[in-house]
Amino acid sequence: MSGSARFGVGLVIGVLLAWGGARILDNGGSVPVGGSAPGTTAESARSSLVPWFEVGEVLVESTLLLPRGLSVENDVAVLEYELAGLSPALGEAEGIAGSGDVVVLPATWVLTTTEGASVEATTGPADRRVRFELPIGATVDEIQLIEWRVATPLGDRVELPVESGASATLRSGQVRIATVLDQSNSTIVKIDVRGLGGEWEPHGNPLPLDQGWRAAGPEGDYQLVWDGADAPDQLVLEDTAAAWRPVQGSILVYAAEAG
Amino acid sequence: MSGIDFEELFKSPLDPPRDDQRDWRPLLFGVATGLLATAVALFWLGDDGSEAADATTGAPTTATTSGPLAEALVYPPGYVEIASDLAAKPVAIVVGDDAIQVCFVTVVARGSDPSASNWPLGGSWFLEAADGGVAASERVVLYRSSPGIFAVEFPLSETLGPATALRRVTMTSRWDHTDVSGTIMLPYDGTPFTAAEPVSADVGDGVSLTLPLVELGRYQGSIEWNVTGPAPQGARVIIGATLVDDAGDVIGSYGDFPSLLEPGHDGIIDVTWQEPFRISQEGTAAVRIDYTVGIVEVTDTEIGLDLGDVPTGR
Repeated sequence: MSGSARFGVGLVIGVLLAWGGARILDNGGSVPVGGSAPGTTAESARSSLVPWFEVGEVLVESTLLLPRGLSVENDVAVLEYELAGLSPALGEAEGIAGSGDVVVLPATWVLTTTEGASVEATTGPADRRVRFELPIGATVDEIQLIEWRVATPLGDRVELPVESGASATLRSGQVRIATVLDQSNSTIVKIDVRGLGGEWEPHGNPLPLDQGWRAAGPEGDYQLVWDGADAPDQLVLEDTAAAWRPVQGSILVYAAEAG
Repeated sequence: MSGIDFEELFKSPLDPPRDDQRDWRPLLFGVATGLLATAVALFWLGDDGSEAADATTGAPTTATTSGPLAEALVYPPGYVEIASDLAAKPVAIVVGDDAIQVCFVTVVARGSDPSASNWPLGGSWFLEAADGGVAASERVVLYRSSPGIFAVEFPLSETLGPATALRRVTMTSRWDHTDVSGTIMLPYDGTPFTAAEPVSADVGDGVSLTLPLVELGRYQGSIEWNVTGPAPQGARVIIGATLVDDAGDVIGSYGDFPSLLEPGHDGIIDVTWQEPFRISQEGTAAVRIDYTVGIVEVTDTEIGLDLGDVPTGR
């Protein structure tokens, strides 16, 4: 073999070695074996990010899901977890020390058994454990989070006549004027708000844009007072609510091979 | 192939007579060149090969991006810094009857204190559609969890309709603020308490905070405020009230749910009696009003965030 041919062979070997090395480094320094530890998947934090709180955390938008153990008993699998937020908090946030507000929450999970069966489970805002009912005798292969909810604030402005029974629809519910009490030197408007619930956060009171109105009273059942005899005929209310909007994806939280 | 005579290239006068069948130097030189060239190519292309790895391993894919080995990212992937130690990501576009709202989630920089309070109060934004339509923001929508979440509202128009594909949103100015805090003491004359007359405080730079009305009942109260002076964009005002005895010891406090309030020139703060809950307010000698005023300072910016992959709904 000539020197040029040997150089060519060496060049090819060098390229292959370099590319292969890059693949191995990209997998956290180990060759993929078909499984990974919680929070160290190719998706979740890419396994190459320095953790925010602890090794094994799983990044879900601005929330870190911290697995606290999987137990399987009587064909029921329970994964316990904590949540830590990276969002700014006004005042001290609850939960993990150093955590900010949690504005992204896990919602729908799917567990896959080693036999290939899939089991779905859902969790709510206050949950810190997810429970799967397994087929008899099944063992857990992996758990993925396939839907999470993101808090999104939304503003509404509605205009309604200042008269008893007038109502308007908000994205998050309905606002209705229950009574209008005209007095000699003021007008008092009693307002009911009915929230839709569901994905919507508990509701504050929609407030008038016109600063001439004074608002008072508990959430959902309050009154507006206009001092003077010149109360406007129309009322514009500004509402702010927040919905937990679902986002679909696929984030590996637990894989059996890595324990 | 290349025409280079490697035998001559590597030849040295000191070389012993060589056996061509055992000369591996061209091969080794080739390996080294290949390693070096590939490494340089990967570096310049910014490719650590992760996409190819995902495709071959069938790993789940979402909106994360790859990074160098063991990188301590300041923010999670996909977030863009919009203020010092604060980054945002658009997470939803909501189309209403007369407006489009772009909803954001924010995160603090790694190592920053999430409970710090000097976050921006909003800003001015510009929305660009894929077909060239544009709109300037009408307002920033804040909620209890703000600034962890916020939304920016844009009006629908002929050039920006409800079905328009959106391309990008740009923050063109940011409302920063520097807080000034202080205390006003008022003599107490029983519950319900009403301040005898409006009280004012100088909060610097010629700006005054005035409280025309302070009313405190047994469980809740109401405090009206306004700022006057050179504060064209208004201020964020937080006010609480504490009942103290002759020795200055706290009997109880009124406060508000902590929230990032929209700046303004006047407003009413409804306060409630805070924990530890005490039924009796006996022994009160004075009302201490604690205030924090953040005068809005507008900072010009040019920070763009792509909207191409952001889900749209109603």
